Amino acid sequence: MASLPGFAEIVHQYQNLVYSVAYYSLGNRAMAEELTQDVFLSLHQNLHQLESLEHVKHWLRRTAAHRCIDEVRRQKFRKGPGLDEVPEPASRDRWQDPLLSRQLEECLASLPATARVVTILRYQEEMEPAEIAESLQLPVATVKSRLHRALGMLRVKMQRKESACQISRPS
Amino acid sequence: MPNIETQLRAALRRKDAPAGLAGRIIAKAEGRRVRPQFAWLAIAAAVLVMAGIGWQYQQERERRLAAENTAQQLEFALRMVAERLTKVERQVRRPEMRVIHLQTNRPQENLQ
Amino acid sequence: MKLAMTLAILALPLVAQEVDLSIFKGLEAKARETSNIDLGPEQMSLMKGFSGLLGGDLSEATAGLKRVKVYSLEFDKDGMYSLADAESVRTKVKSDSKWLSLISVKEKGGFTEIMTHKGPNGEMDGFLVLAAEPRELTIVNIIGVLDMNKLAKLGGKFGIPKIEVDKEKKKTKED
Repeated sequence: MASLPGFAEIVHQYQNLVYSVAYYSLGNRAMAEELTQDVFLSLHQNLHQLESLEHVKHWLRRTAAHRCIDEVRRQKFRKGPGLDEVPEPASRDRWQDPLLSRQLEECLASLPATARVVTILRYQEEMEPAEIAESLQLPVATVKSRLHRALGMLRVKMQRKESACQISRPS
Repeated sequence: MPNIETQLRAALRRKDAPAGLAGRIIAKAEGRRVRPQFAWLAIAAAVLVMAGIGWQYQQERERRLAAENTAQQLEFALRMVAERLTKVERQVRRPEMRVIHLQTNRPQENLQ
Repeated sequence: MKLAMTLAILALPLVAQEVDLSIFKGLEAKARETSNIDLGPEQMSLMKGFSGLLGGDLSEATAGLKRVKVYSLEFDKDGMYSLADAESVRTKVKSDSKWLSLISVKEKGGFTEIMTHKGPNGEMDGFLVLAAEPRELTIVNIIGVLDMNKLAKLGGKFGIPKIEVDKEKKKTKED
């Protein structure tokens, strides 16, 4: 088994992973940054227990997911998404519709904590339900059920947004 | 309109972490003082702290530590229960032990 | 601080599932080692508010717990505490018809009693381990619903030794 790279290299390699999970979960850059920092500082203390880069990645996903769930639950009184006022930089991906993405992020932010994080792990990290279940220490059936319900809710919310856009467009 | 899963994959592409975040994390982990590039960053950070965000996070950390402590104590308590149950289970099997009462945990199987 | 906590454990007002341990006041001064744990509803609630602190199975088995008390003393030699006191606690608990004995084992110089408390709807809402040995006294009092089947499944995990919930051999030896 290859030995682990240094902490600095690990941070550079995985900061986007952790930051993204945090950002989409919390909808707030400052909090996402704070949480990312916290996760990596915790990793720094536990690095000696980890054996491989794969193990590190698994650990980071799991820890970030748990911290995000806790933080979202703490923010339950916050209404709607806390997206920053600073506009998003233009997407480099020409297949990605920025407006659609932003709407989806808003809908995602209205999901309950666990459903939100499960969805992010599935579609950002492309984790299988069994992997998500192991990370979040939930039964696989629960993960699948949360995903199924989350997709249903997102579909409905997106359809409503789409209808609202059509109504508001000038004829 | 593409299906919701395709939309999600597109919308949830990994974001780039803010510039300098890695450096700040590494510096903090190694215990070095972080010098902001611009003075106004330090002022903004102080304002944020005064606004209570840093304080709230610290409170949250303390709550988490207390919760972790509780979890450890609960695990200890349950370990004691399990050890006792195991010990009793062994004792029950020994012919010289006096077992006054043994009942499974199902109301319909009252053995008395 | 430790003495204050012990006194607090022994003196708090009790709900039906809580066992009165005030008879053991002062015993910890004679013990070589003591373990005192008192996790109240606020602490349990705080812990449950954080994801991932307990493993999933353990979290499920203990989801219904409201309070957990452990009072455990180890002594250097026999006779440092009164077995009669331990027996009087057992007798008092047994006098409450809501407490049902799961296992009673008597041995030389001591006994082990494991009991459950029956709630208003017939559910198990309390649990007691009272183990008196010549040099060790252990009391674990749990208020709330403890899923014993789920706990048994944890055998080998989380440092919990394997519990054999033997459903085949249902034996009773009466005295």
